[in-house]
Amino acid sequence: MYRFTAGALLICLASIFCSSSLRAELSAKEIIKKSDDLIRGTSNRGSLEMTITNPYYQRTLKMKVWNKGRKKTFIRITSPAKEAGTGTLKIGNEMWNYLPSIEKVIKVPPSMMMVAWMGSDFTNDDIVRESSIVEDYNHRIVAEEKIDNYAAYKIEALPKPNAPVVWGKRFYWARKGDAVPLREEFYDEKGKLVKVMDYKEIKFMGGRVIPTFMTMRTIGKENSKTSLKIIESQYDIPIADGIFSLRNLQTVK
Amino acid sequence: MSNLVLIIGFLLILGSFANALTFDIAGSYKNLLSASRTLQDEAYNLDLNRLRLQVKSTFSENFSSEIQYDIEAYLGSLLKTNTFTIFKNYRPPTKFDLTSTLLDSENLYVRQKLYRFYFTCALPLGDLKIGRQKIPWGVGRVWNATDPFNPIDFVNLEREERVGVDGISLDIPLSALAGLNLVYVEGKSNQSMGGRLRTNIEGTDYSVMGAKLGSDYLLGFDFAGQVRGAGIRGEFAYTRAQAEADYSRLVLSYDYTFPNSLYFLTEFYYNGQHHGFLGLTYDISSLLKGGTYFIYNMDDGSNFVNPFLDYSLTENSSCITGAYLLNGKAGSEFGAFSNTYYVQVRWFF
Repeated sequence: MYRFTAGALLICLASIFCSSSLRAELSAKEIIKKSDDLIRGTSNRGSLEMTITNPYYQRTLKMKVWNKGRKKTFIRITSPAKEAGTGTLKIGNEMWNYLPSIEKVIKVPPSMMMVAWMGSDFTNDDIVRESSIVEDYNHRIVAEEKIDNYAAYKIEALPKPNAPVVWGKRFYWARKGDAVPLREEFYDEKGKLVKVMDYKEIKFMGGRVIPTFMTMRTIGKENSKTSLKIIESQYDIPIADGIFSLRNLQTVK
Repeated sequence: MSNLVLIIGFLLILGSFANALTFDIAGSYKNLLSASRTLQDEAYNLDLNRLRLQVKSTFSENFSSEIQYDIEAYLGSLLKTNTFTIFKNYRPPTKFDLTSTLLDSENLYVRQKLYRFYFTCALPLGDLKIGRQKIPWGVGRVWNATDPFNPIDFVNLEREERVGVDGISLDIPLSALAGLNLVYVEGKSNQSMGGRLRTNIEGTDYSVMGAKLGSDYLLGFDFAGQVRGAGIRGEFAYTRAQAEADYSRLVLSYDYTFPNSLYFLTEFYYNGQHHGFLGLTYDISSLLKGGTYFIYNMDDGSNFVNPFLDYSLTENSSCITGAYLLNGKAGSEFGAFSNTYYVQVRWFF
């Protein structure tokens, strides 16, 4: 847990003020980068709660997540009991799962990346995505709109040729001033809207102002959604390389 | 092993938890109801109830233990057959017999066992694990050529259950994706030791291993990589045997998952005979998954088909129903066995 101090608040307010004063000079790419840096940092560690809701059931997964840059991700599910201990390690474009039921690490083939992660509206690729909305797409501001009463830039992101991405187009709404993400739309290669992600409950956490509640909806499954709640998170902290190793993956503590 | 020794040992471990930094209890309850015919062609049903308690305790930052303790109750007409007598008297080839009978009557058989029981010490060199454990070698999904300790038994009704071994395992990390696993296993009548060196080169996991298994020697390698989005795997093992002719085994495996959740797995296995495997699974809904596994012995023509449905009852429970359908002439690999139909409910806590 971190401490919310007056100093931290001051730094935060100052950074928001500076961001506001500079916003007119930011390009679409700079806004996207600022937004991406905000929710990722150079590294992060946190606890998440994922709730999958559909007409038949609702279930909640709790997990701990570590990220270092864009290349390394480690996830350990802590509940429910049926899934507890399941681990995911991603380094570069390779991924491994540890399955407690067979006490074994298995290598996950890339074809699994577009499959729902743990039955949610997130795919494996969404969870451990290596592709970067900053580096793998070309951006332009296409509108200024209001999302949840916040003034926002609507940014179109089109993939660069040969970029390792799975989407044909994305729209990204970033709050004016501080680039907090508010909404994201994902389109397939035929231009059909596939998923919508809403970012809510913007608050101070981990030394920065971030959305702490995200909801992913799959178009065509209107009664289904997956929400992701950030319980606790820390950013730009040193994370030991040993976290991102097969040794750690098969060691369930 | 007598009941007394088993229970005292268990209580001693429990008592030591008083000093544990963390103490975590989890477990599961399984009910597996099956119906089939014995090799003597007697129709039977069997209801297995297993309560598994998993106790993990951390004594210090570098020292922990794990116990998985089972109580199993068997009911059904199989208890009245000679087949069940053989089952009751069977003991796995482990050094220690960690199973003991609690009740043995005509209609109910109850036993307890330690499924896993080991201590882990995180040394500067690597992780040292001592006790009843599983050695996770091999990359095949249906068969393992390079896992002499706990190979997959795909036609077992409890596919995920592995007896484990009594031994010492030292896992030495060499980098994030590379390491050396050294193993010493004390069996009922012999000792085994071996090593497996694994690494990752250009997106593919590779391992080489060597082991002395009693008086036999095994040399092998495996790999797990990816081609055009698909997973490809392979295992090869050569065994220099004392009591029989030397032999080789080979596993080749390929799987692919389509975006609509259709999963396709095929595997080839050579162990003197040639076997093929084909598996398809599909998420019919968020809660219901269906699939079929098919094994074909190319030399004797016998085959095994396993259609199944897997329904997620709650967040922590599931129900699986299916059949093991076996075909083949007398004397073939699958021809001697009868079809088995089963329903399994498992609840985790």
